[in-house]
Amino acid sequence: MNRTCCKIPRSLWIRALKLVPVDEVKAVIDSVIHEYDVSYKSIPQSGLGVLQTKDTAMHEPYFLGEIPIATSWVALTDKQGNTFEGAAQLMDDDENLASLFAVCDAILENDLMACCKLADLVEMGDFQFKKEALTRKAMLGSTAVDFSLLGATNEENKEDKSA
Amino acid sequence: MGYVAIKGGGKAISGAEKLLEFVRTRQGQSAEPLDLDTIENQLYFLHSRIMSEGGLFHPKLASLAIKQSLGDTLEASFALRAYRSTKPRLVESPVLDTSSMRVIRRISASFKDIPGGQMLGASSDYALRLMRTELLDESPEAFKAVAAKWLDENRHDDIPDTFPKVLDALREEGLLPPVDEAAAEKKPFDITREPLVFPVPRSAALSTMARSETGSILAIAYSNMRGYGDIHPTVAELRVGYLPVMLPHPITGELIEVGEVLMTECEVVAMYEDEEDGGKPTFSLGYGACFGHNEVKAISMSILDRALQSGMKNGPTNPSEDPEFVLLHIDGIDSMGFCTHYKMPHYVTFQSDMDRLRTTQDKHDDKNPGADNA
Amino acid sequence: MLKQDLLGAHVNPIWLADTQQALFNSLMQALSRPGQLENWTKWLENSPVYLAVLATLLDGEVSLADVDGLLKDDHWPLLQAQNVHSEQAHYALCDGAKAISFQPKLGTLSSPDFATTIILKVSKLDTHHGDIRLKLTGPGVNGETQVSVSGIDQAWLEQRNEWCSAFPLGIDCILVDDTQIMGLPRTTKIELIETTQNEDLN
Repeated sequence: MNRTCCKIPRSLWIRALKLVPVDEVKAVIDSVIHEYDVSYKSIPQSGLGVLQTKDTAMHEPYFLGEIPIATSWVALTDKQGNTFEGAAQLMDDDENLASLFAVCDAILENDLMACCKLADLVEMGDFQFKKEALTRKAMLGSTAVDFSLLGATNEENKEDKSA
Repeated sequence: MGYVAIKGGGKAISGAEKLLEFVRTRQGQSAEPLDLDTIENQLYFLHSRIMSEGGLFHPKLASLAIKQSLGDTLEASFALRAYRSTKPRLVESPVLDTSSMRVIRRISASFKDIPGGQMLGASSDYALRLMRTELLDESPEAFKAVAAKWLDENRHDDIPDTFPKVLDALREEGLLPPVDEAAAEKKPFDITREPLVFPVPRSAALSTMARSETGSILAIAYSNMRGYGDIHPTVAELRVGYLPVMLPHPITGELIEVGEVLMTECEVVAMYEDEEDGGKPTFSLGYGACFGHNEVKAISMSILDRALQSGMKNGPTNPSEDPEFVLLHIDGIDSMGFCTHYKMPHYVTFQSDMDRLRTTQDKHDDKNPGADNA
Repeated sequence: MLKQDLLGAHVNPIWLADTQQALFNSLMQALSRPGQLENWTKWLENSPVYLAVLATLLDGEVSLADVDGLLKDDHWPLLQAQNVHSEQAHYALCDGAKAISFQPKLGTLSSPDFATTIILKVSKLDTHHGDIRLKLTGPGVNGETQVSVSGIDQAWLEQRNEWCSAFPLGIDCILVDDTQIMGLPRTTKIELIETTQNEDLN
């Protein structure tokens, strides 16, 4: 672990990268991928994952349903013979996208070439996510029920005003 | 008697397929084809319904299924279910905790002051069900302005990321049964791999109901609500939101966010029962959840979960408590498939039915000579 | 959506879907026609045949026991199968020259398919010459057929007949040498009609 260029934790890279235009990510990877010999630790694949949750009444695990999953695990070997591994799983049908993100994972984790450019893209994606989170909070904030108005003396009028 | 080979339908069948495509496009020059994002956003509830009934959270393909089936919910769910059956199973998620849901709506019918507060989110609960005639001729400009204006006017930075569950507060007060630690260790039943051979565990019932057909599960839950049952549920909490999907990183095992699913979750608190073993009486509980924003389905499921728990424990006293009755009749793909197959040629079986009827009629005539003529 | 392999990585063909479909077809042929040899040379690109068989048949939902340690560590994430003990495995990879060390699952009367499929590596499969000459009869064989197998402990064949003696229980076998495969489904009756050089193996 000699990561310095990306401040956002690894657990959030995929989430952020998904919110960045794919072409921008691909452009960064294309600019450096020829420096490495690429091989797959497991074959890029797309398929399904089954989502296990637990019911919040009795805390019993069950399968809620299925989700698309694309997965890839790559090894990049540089000209000096050093090998760096990266892997990605994401909710998508495209195993090539998983491979692209697996290379991003290897680059960001090991501070390889172009890691700063990638880190910028991750930050950009993270910003997008936070923006969406704010929209969701606005959905809640704008519809928060204020029951304290019920207790007020002039109940009817106040409800009218708030409505 | 062998089957009679039927030929000659080939041309008619391909003609029918082409005709359906004509029907889809006949609006002609003035029309725009439906694009998938439009379906996902403007047919939001339909889209949610298809993902939940298909049992696959795939927003893009759910839109496509709606488009190609011309909005037939059963056909669209079928297409999604058929697609999933062609894909390999790559991973099983760890047990995800829905309390990490990024909530967009949470309400309670049991208390007004729930921890974290009630937030209505997007809801048609308070609509007057009057025709909104202003939408009859909506201009694209006006349409586009609405969302922009809403985003502009609504900023709330002071909302927490997640919310506590109402049930946890009730449990702390000792009003609910304690969490069954043994149940938490159980390996869930996988309805996509194993047939339902009764009796089935509760996890099989939850999975089956989560992908059930909305109308079917509502109808059976409604029978319970109306009186073929005595659950008397109170919605402790109904929430809608995005559950982050976490999977272990293939190299490090660290949990990684790979995406999120929109889901609806409902817990109901129901009649308490005196414990037979002399334990402290507590409320009973029901749980419902499904992909997408489908509140009627989640509430129906929570009521049936509670009803089925009774049936599994004490034997069913009404249809909604009978696991076999409920779980084998709520799947839309199963039921529409059976129903649809009656349209297929049954020429041979029907021929045999006619033969038998004629023989019986002849016997009848022999026994009652002249009866028909009388 | 990106659809080309954008990393330009070299992937051995046995891991590609198109190859696996062709190989699956060949496997079906082999199991439908016991005693018929299928040559896989053109697909292999230096991979052992048993790895190609496993690549074609396995995924993350089934289990494999590498009984005699023929696989490398790198193969497991590619195969994705769960690594389990030989007595529980859906598939078992064994070296035919070594003695039998386990009891495979033979299925149950209601689910005879819950039996272990054994991939048995031998040194040579040949229609004419070899250590052990077998006479095969049964479904998929027109009358009878003969085939020679080299580099196999005779006990495997005797034990296999024992395991398959109570049909529908039994095991299905896929014999592999360096380039060819041969199917021996549980329905095939095997008779040893000639053995030579067997003492070398014992």
